[in-house]
Amino acid sequence: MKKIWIFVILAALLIDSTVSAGDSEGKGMQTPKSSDSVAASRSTSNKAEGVELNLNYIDAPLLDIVWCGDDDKQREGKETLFVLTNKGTVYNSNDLGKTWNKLRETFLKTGKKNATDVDNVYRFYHLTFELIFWSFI
Amino acid sequence: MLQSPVDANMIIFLGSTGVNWITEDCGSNIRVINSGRKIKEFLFHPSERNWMLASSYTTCDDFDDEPCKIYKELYVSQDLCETWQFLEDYVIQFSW
Repeated sequence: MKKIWIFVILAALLIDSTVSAGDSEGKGMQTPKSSDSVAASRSTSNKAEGVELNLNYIDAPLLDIVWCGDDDKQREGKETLFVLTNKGTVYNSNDLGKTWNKLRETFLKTGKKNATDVDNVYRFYHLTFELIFWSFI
Repeated sequence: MLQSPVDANMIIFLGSTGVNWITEDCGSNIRVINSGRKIKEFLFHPSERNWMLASSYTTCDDFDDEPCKIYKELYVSQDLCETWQFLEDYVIQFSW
């Protein structure tokens, strides 16, 4: 009798896990994920047909796409792509568009650093000029 | 976004406010281009990796004691945007 109950419980677990797997592969629609870089993204896959579809939302209409890297690297799966939106925002992905990074922070950081360097150079020359000028007077 | 015809890992990002960026490794490292002027157009050399042409419009700040004139100037860099040499003014179009 015990053996029969164990069999029934095992069968029930097996059926439950099969149904769950079927749900995730068949429907495959995951809830949209939100992140700092991309407003929201969702993916769906249909392994039976060998097609994987990723939907990603960007902040404005798409203006340009650039695939970066040479062909050899792309075959190894190291491909990177950049996307430019109508708003001037640049996103990049290193995994065939599955995940995206917004490059705004990088641009702002390097741009600000450059601006600060220019300011410092200007201030240095300005100060040197003033010192020389006043030393002659 | 402009990709180099010689090096597929090199991309230039032209900014709208006069600050521009370049990456030589597909975005792993991005640095600001040293131009000193607001770049209007940009052109890679078809075979020389580090050569590029850039055009820029004059601004009224460029003229101290004379009337302001707005026209396009052409610059060339042969060291990956580190230094720029003035080539020509009153340029309409250009190519390598």
